[in-house]
Formats: sequence, structure tokens, C-alpha cells
Amino acid sequence: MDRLSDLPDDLLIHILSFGPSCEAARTTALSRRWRRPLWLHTAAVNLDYRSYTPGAGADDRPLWRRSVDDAEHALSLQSSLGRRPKKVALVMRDGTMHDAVLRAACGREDVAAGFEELQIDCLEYGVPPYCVHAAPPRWTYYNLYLVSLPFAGLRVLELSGCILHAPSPSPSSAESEEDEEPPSEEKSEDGQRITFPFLEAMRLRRCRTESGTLQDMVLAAPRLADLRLEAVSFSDYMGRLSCPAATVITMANCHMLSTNNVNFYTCTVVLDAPRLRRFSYSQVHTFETTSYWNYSFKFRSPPQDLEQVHLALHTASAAADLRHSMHMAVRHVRVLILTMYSLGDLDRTGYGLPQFDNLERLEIEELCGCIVDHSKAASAIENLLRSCPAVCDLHLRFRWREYLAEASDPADQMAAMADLMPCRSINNTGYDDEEEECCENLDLYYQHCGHGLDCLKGSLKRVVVEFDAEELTCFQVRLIRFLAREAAGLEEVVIDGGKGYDSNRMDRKVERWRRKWKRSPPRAAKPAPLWPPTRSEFPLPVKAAAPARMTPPCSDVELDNGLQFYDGEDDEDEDDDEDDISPKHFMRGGSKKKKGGGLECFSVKLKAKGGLITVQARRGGANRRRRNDWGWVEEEEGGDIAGSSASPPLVPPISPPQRLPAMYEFPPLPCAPPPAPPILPSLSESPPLDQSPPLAPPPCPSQIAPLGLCPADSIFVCRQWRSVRLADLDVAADMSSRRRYLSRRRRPLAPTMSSGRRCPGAFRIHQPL
Amino acid sequence: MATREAGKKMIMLKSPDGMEFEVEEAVAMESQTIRKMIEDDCADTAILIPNINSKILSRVIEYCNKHVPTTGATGAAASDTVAPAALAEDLKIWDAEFIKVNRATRFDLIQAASYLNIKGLLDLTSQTTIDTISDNSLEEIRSFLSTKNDYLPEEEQTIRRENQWAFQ
Repeated sequence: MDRLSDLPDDLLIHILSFGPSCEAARTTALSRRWRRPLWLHTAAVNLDYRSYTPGAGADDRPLWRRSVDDAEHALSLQSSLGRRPKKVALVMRDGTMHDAVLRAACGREDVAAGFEELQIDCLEYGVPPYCVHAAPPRWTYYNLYLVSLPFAGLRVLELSGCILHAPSPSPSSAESEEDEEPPSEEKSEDGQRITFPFLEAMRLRRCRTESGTLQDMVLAAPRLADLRLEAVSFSDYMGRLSCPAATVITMANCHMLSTNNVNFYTCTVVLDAPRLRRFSYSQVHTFETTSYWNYSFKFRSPPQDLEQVHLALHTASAAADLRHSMHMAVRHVRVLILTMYSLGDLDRTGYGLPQFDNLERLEIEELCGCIVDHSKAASAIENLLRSCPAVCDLHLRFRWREYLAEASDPADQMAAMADLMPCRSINNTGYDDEEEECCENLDLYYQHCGHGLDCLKGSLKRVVVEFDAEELTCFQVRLIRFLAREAAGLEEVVIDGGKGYDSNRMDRKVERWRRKWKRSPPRAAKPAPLWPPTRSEFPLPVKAAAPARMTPPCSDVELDNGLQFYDGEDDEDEDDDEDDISPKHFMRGGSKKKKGGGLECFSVKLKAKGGLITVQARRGGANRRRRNDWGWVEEEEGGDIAGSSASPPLVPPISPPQRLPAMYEFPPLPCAPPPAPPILPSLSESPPLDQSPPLAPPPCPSQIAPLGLCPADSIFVCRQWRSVRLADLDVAADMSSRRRYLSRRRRPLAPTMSSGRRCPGAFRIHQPL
Repeated sequence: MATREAGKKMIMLKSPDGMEFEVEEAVAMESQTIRKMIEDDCADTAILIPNINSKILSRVIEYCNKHVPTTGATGAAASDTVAPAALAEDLKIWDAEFIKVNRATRFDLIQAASYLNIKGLLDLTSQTTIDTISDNSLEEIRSFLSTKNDYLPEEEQTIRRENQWAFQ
């Protein structure tokens, strides 16, 4: 059956509004359902060179001619119906943009006055739509004369690959840079003065223009709120840009083509945008630095409403740039996003960073920090935190791999990745105590700073670390530990890795660091270096005296995470085909688990109804000993009992209280965090988990044992699942904190629904008993 | 984490096949329809979403989860939630993956997006749909959509003549 035809008219119209006009018009001949020319109701005219196959059929008109004809037909048909086209898009990327096309589309003044959105895309074929680099002058551009634009009703204007020409090539535009009065006033002698009375958003991509022309356009649009300049080349020096109404400005890779040999490569544009709320600036240094001057910026006056600033500072002097450019805005910015090649760029002894007194959220995105000195990066973080005393949300995003993947030279990639190896290998081992001397030099910087940072005293509430590798590097681990241990008010730490990352162990580590803090807040006059933590601060693996008490392995009890699945894979499992750890497999006993299938655990919040739960402990595999830090299973080497579902219950060679029951009732776990045990000296050999209340699962016989009625909203923790009948459960789940991680990684960690599709991040399943 | 999570209001969405989804309010507000319900205080109990089965609803929620604006602590007005270019590109890539579904699912998504009034999703699905039928001849489109040509031959000729410019 034809689902498309079954859709209601308004949906079809909406769909057709995205298609090239001639294609849309063609649909009238599909069937009677389409007899009524729906496309005429779209109020959109799209001309797309891609819809013309050159040389097809007997049509030997050039492409631009066909575009012109189509434009005329589409417009006249639409206006004959009394409908005014509102949205016009001309995508002519193959160099066929012809003046006649624009004339045909926008020439009829009565029709063009109704245009609200206009997109002209004349990028050279093959140019990526997102501009990372500046536009080389050798590309073809379309010469666009602004007077030919329909400016009466325009709300959105998007121009790509055009050279913008002022209405009249007045000589004044070249000199207008220092003019005090708005240059548009000078255009009055020309009858064709441009005004965009309704223009709200303007986006220029890979365009070339003169500064005066741009300023004219901006000033001619009193409602212009959103101005984006991406890879715009100016042929003259733009000293100042005044955007009285702009609330959002994006400046990416704007530059000036040098016409003379003035010997500097950066020029500063002074932005006069008093109503600015969001600002984004990025500048990649261009490949031909001799002929390009990159634009930097600064604000003329403090933008009072400024909220968010995103700066991509791809220079080694990022600290100076930051100081320079944010001079006027430091007091106002509340969200700051910094994208840098390396954190170390911010390390500038001698230059302090500006003081962001009101900054609430700091995001740092590092592109290739893997190849630089970590001690500089540590120092930079310290500096940054010092200058953001009120920050409560800290995001660190390490996109090294992504960045390296873009590197052209594979040798560079290899070299860079090789640099990562020593660090990564440490974290690849499962032992917490194997802290090697790597990155030892970090303590140079963190030795004394721990208590000097205001934001750590209370404001910092949330730390998010994202990275795109399988493992955190040593530096990242230390950084997380530093934050987890030193930030007094920290409430949430989210660590989100790339494909193949197993958050399991890191989450536990963080929890332990946090718990340690809660138990023994850092003493004020602690002389010992706080960074890096000494080896002894990592609990040693539990040896023979391993406690067999059940502790919340994921320690989510107090974290309000209803249901969390942790697949028990350990990190040495490099293969990424492990896409099928779904609850089905939990329920079926993990038949799809691969080598040495680990242990699963998760906590379940049960709703009031209670019910029968049947649980069978799932036997772990070769990675058993990795679980030592849970204080959970102790097993001798070779005792891999990862068996089939028919195998007898696990009887580890441990004393009875430590025995892992194959099946047990869930005892309710108290929701409150475990009572604080006496302060442990940091050299304590005993892992902190010892002190949590015992949950001792009563050893059960190996048949399925039902769990009785459960009190409402109890939280149960199960370490090892063999089979869980979800039908018996009333499961409330909230995995929002792990949403990203889950969505990126192994698909169906969350319960699947009847369709087999993974539930989205936050969900709830109710199934009656 | 506890306090932060507790600060978020959760909304329960119910699909006609009995599945319930608990989503953050901000995520649910991506849908203008639900937003209106919430603003009208009709969302005390679960919101029943008619006509959208749990499979589609879960995908829609997945989309909303991804596209919920990550505004700063102050929460800028929805009108100028303009993501930086890099973020937008991330989303574009994600969208492209997201929309790799079969046609039936896509049509379901269109209807869901239309009912729930989620502009981004509607645009995405519409654009994808038109992209799949673009560049094809009429016959190809018909067979692709399994549309039955119920025109008489002369009728079709007439229509083709009327819209001759499009058939060249």
C-alpha cells in the first residue's frame, strides 16, 4: 500500500515544500490522489541543480535556462493561485548560477515582496557545507548585487558562495571603516538604497564582500537578531562592526584578503553589539597566511545580556587571545565554551586569565591534547578554574580521536596515537593500584592549588568528562580524581567514553574518591601533595581477606538511578561486536556473552506493587578477579565457572559467608548512603567498600527462588543475574545520566521492548503481574 | 546527582499499546503539542499519545532527547537557541543515522512528528522522504511508493501537458 498517499494533505504539502519545484509539480501526475496540485500550496519555490540531469531526453537547454523556466512557471502558477511563495531556495552549486535565474526567481516585485526566506547557494561543487577553512580566492563565486535581492519582506537570508556587491559601487564604502555615522546614510543619493525591514537572520557562508557592504546590510536590517559570518573574506580592513539588534553572532574564519604588504596577520574587529546574548567565534589559521589576515574581535562596550560565548582558539597563545577578546565581557558571560587544540595553550605564566566572576558553566573541548605536555595542561586547568570562581558545571571534552581522524597524514595519526599508548596501557589494566610514574610531573602544579580554588569550595556541582577513546589517559584519570576529591560540593560526575569504553570501573573509582571525600574532607592544612594522589590511595585488590559483603557495586543507591545495567565486560575486551547484551540475554542467562563473560549487576527500584522476582546468579568468567574491588567475589585463578545455564551453582573455594550464591533473594538495600565509618587513613589497606552495611545474601538452593512481596520503592542491588523475569518486575528506570553513553555504545543495554527496539534513555515499563 | 535529578520534572507518556515512558519535561516540551498540554496543566497524570505506538514513540523520544537544547544554566529563550556550528554538525550526523529506517517507520515518524508538532523531526523526515523520490521518473516513483496509477491515459496526458514545464 502507498503510505505516502495516505498521509493527509497538509503533511504532503509540507513534504513537497522540501523538494525542487519541478519534482513537486511532477507529482500531480502520480495518481488521482495527487491530482489537486498540492505542491502549489507549499509556498516554497526550490530550484536545485541536482534535479536536472544534463543531457537527459531531448532537452538541450542549458541548465540555467531550465532553472529560469522552472522558476517562472512555479512562481506564476503559485501566484495565479493567489498564494505568495514565501520560501525560495536556489541551489546552483555547479557553476551554473546565472543572473537570469535570480532575476526569474526574484525579479517580479509583486511576488518577491512576499518572500520571507531566501537561500542562494552557489558554493563550488564539492565544497563541504561546513567551512572549516577560509575560502580561497580561486574559487568561483557568484556576483550578487544586493539590489537584486527581494528585501521587502525577507526574514531569513542565507547566501553561500557569493560576492556581495553594494547597491552602488560607491567609493565611500572602502573608507567607511572609521566613519562614525552609519555608512548607510550615505547611500541615500542612490535610489536603490537597501533596507531589510523584517530581516531577522542573515547567514553568509564563504562569501566575499567589503566591510562597508556588510555594515550596510546589517544596519539596513533593524531587526537582525542572528548574524552568522562563516568564512567570509573581506577585501578591505573591517575595523568595526556595529550590530545594534543582534542577539546571536557567529564569526567563523573570517579574514581579510591582503592587498598590500602590511606585516601583520591578525586584525581586530571591534564588535558593537549591545544586545548580544550568544557569541561564537572560531578561527582556524589559514594555509596561506601571507595573503590572509585572520580576524579576531573584541567588544566595544560590555554586552550586558551576554550569556554564552563559544571561542575556538586555535593558537598557542589562547590565554592572551582570551584575555584580549573577552576584555569587555568577562563580567557578563555565564557560559563559556573553549575549543582548543590543547589545554596547554591556555597555560601562560605571566598572563593571567581574565576573571570570569559570573561564569556558571565552563566547557572545554580539546582537540589534540594527546601530543603535548600534560603538565602544561594541568596548569592550564588550574588557571582556568582559578579564574572561574563561581563555575558550577564543568565539561571537559576530549575529541582527540575525532580530530586525529581528520588529519590528512596517517603517519601523523600513528605518531600521535603512539604517544597516547603509555598512558592508555595503564588504564587498560584492570588494577586500580597500578599507578605508574606516568604523568608524575603533574604534581608540580597541583601540589598547592587544591584549596586555593574558589570553585572547588562549593560552587562546582557537576563534572562531565567526555572523550572519544576507549580508555581515559592517565592525565584524564588524574584530573578526574583531582576534581572528585577536591570539589566539596560535587554532586555528579559523568564520564562518557567513546565506542568500546567501559565506564564500569571508572564510575566505581570516582564513587570511591567521592566517598572518601565525604568521609574525610580534606584537612585544611594538609601538607601532603594533593595531586597526584599517591599510590596508596588506590585500594589494593582484595586478597584473601576479601569481604563478601554485598555493597552497591555501582553505588547508585543514593543516586536515584532506578535501573542500571552494567555489563560486566572488562576492558581488555577490545572487540566491539558486543552489541547484543540486552536484557533478553540477562534473562536468558547471557548466552550471547562472549569470552569470559563477566558479571552483570544493576540495581532495581521496585515499585509498590511488588511481585515475584526470580533471580539466579550469573556466574562470571575469566575476569572474576577484576571484581576484587567490589569486595565481592574472590576466586582463585582458573576457577572460571562461566558455564552453561545447566551448570551447578557456583561454589567458589571460599569460606561460606563469602560464597557466591547462585540464587538468592534480594535483600532491600537501604537508600541512605552507608554510615560513615571512622576516618580511614589514606594509607589504609582496606578498601572503603568494607564499611557499607552487609547485605549478605542468604545462600539459596539452586532452583529458582521467588522473591516475596517487596516494599514500595525499595532499591535492590543484584550483582549477578542469571535470569530475571521482567514480567514479574515492576521496574522503574531512569538512565538519563548514562543516556549518551548508552546510545553511543552497545545498543540494547536498556530493556528492550516488545518490538525489540531499545527503549530511549528515560523510560518506564509497567507490566502487570 | 540526586538533587539534580530530583529537580527535573518528569512527564509520563503513554502509548496506546500500554507502554509508558517517563521523560524529562524539557524533552517532552520539544513537542509543541505536549508543551501546550503541560502549560495547560493537563499533564498531571500520564499523557496518552494516541495513534503512536510504543516503537515509534520511543524513537521520537530518542530524537527529542538528542535535540533538547542544551542551554546554559539560565535557559535562553527558545527563539534563539542557536547551536554553534560544530554542535549543529554533530546533530546533523546523528540525524542522518537516526533517519536510516525503513519507509514504513519513516511515515510513522512523519505522522508522529506532525501530531506531536516537532518541527525538527518533521523537517527531517520530510526532507528524507522527498530526497528518496527526487531524481526519479514518475514511473519509478510510482513503483517505489507502490502508488497505483488510476488515471486514464488521456487524463494523464492532459496533466502532463498542463505541467509540461515540469516534465521536460
